[in-house]
Amino acid sequence: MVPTLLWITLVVFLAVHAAPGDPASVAEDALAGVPSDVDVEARSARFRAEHLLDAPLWRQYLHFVGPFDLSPDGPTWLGGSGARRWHGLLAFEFGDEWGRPGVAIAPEIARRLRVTVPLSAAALFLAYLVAIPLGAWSALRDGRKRAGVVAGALLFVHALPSFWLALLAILVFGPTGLDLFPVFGLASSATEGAGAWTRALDVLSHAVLPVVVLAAGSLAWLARHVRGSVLQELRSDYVRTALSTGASELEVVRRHALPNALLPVITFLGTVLPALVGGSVVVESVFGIEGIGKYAYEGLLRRDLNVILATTTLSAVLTLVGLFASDLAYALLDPRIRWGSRRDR
Amino acid sequence: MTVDARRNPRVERFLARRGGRIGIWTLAILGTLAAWAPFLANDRPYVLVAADRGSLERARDELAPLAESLARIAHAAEDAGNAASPGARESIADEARGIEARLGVLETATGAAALAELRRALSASRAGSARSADELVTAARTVRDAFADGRLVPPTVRTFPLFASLDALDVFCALLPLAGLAAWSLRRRLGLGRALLVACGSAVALAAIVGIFAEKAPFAAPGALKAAVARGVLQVDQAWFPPIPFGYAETNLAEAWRPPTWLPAGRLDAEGRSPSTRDVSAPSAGRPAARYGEPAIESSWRHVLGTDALGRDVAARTLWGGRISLTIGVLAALLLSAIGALLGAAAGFLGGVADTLVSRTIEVVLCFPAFFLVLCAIAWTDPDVVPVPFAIVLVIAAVGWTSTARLVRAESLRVAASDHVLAARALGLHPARVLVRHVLPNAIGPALVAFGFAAGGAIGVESSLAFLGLGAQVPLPSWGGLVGEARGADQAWAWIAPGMLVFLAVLAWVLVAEAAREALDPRAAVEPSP
Repeated sequence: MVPTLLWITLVVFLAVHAAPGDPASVAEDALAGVPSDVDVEARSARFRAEHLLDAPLWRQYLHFVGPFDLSPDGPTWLGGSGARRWHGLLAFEFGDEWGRPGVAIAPEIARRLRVTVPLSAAALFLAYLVAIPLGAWSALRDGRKRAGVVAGALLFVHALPSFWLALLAILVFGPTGLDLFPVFGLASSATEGAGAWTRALDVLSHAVLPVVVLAAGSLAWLARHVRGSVLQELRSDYVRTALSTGASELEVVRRHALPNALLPVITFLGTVLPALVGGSVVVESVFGIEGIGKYAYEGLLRRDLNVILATTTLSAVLTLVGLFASDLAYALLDPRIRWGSRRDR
Repeated sequence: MTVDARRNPRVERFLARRGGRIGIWTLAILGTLAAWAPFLANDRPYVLVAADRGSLERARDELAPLAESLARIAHAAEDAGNAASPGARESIADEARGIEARLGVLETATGAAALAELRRALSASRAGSARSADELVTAARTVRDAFADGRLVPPTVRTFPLFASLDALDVFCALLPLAGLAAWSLRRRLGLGRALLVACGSAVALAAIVGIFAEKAPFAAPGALKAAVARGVLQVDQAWFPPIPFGYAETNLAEAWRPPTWLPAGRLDAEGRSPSTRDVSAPSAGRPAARYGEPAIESSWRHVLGTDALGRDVAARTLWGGRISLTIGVLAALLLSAIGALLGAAAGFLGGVADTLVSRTIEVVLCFPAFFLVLCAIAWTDPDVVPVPFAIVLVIAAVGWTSTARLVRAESLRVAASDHVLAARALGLHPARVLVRHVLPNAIGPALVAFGFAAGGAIGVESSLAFLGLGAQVPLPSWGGLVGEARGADQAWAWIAPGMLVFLAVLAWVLVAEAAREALDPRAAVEPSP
């Protein structure tokens, strides 16, 4: 996991730094409107020094990974002024946004993670909640008409573009349609001073549509794989043996086939999670949710190198942590897998 | 993989599946509509029988000043007494050439009797005498008056503006459906692969010929031809417009956000007002007017799918939009399949360091929320270095090759252990040759299946990018971009149709991939992540 993590930081860093154009000009554009007695040249030089833009690439990379600040403001033992000690990924400290000087990235990201992580977790939970019974059911009824209809419906859901689905959901359930759910943000200003219950209900009703749209993308894929997994188990020898002892089909499926079939389903997390995090960009910007996806998107539009570095790396790291957790769960649930018996991720 | 020339069992098995047939048909229809969009929705007519006053007027306006300047030069030369000096003769020749060029244009007009006079005066004045130059000025004025009186009338010419506006790429696109049809009917005789190659090759050749010989068409700007008619520059006898007489970039601000015909609000009266409206949310730029070749304002055939914020026809834009979306989908899938198959086969066949390298890279790439990476790369590419559509293709391929590589790697591990590969190696063939000739063809099956899923996925990614405003920055619209431009519950009609087409295209590719999987081997491949 650690080498993969290092690779990820390196890839993101290099990808962002391979970008053409002078990144400092972005910050200068943003500063242009701010009246200042310092002339532009000096300000630009200061900016370049502060963000190590003229330093060699390895130094910039170390600055980015951290945990020590390598800029002129860094700790005294590194030759800095001692104003700041920590910086970089390991210290969860990314400095200021380039486009908006004075706005620190780290707290902004922390604030937005508190929105995105619960949303993604809820979507993931919903996707699994629907996909497992649906997939298992359609495997058991394989070859019959109704299972075929469900499989077709899953294909349809799989092919739905999420931005279109989100717009359709707003159209149908939003104020212009059935007016069931609010469609913008995660809380309405009307409930500002209300009680905890009212506020919780308000947030829940705001979250319904984004969570469903987020879940829909992964749901179909998951269900189809659950179906495949269950089908494979049903064809295996031990199921046939169990059936031949005279046990009822339902009993065999419940006791033997299903538990085994659902084991690999945990590892599907590895493919669902990145898709979910990536999908949050579209869903959050359609529903106007101040999450990490929208933040990354806005940073991109502003060409804010610092924000892009931070958000992309963090989402990759989050994904990796999710994968690691699923590996752990797999190892706990499957007695055949023990530490050291398989390759390190 | 040898292809049985008469009957490919895999193709037959693929076609036996209903999903595969539906998918192929859907893709064929969508692709044909997109490829033939210039013939279905265009602001230029197929055939135009018209008199172009514009060029004649320009020639006429320039004639008299040219003649006068020639006369001035001749007078000056005579006053100085050196009519035969080389400098004077040269400038006289220059002006005479200018007059002759204008005369050439004017002579296409009917009733050109006055021109003969002019031509005679011109040849006399070439000698450089001031008297004949004065005659020339008089003659030029006569021609100008003749034109103004209507004695000189521009000729009526039959032109083909729509076809003249096509470039080589358009021609290639237009030929593609025909090439597909030809390949399909020749598949029994040549085998599907070779038939496709022949058909596409001829399409490329034809398009190249057109590209070499095509000239720049007049009235190239969107709506320029209709505007010329409105100004009276073009006097049209007869014009045959496409079924949707609107270009994809032809704006009409007075008609912004016109609802589609099937909504009650979309039925307008001759004044352009809706009898049943809530006011449409557009900045109204005056009373809408139908331009030449368009159905009347109140016609229900005018904008069947409505118009967008700039009054552009949604149906036309949706038709044209498929070009970007479908092309990027196929190109990205081709590229990522090639990368994935090659790397996967190399990893599985060579093993050792190559395998470790590829497998580790796959693991790292899989960890990325791919869409983030694509967003990054697109936002940072310099459109001057890499055109954005290519950048999108490259990035989708760079992020998406992993699932193909994994499948092909597993398959080539199996193939590498088989006897014919052993035999090839025992014969002393170079490993690269063994890889390309013996391992890859036998391990490519899963890659073919993954291709379908990849093409669907690439269309999805491209549409999402375009929806976010980061799509291919070309004048052509793309389906995702159309949805993104029009989003909003008030104008749902403007984004429902393009979004539906994205959905259909992705669905068709998934159906094709499913059928291909079942046809090749029921357990050959799993689809990549959503």
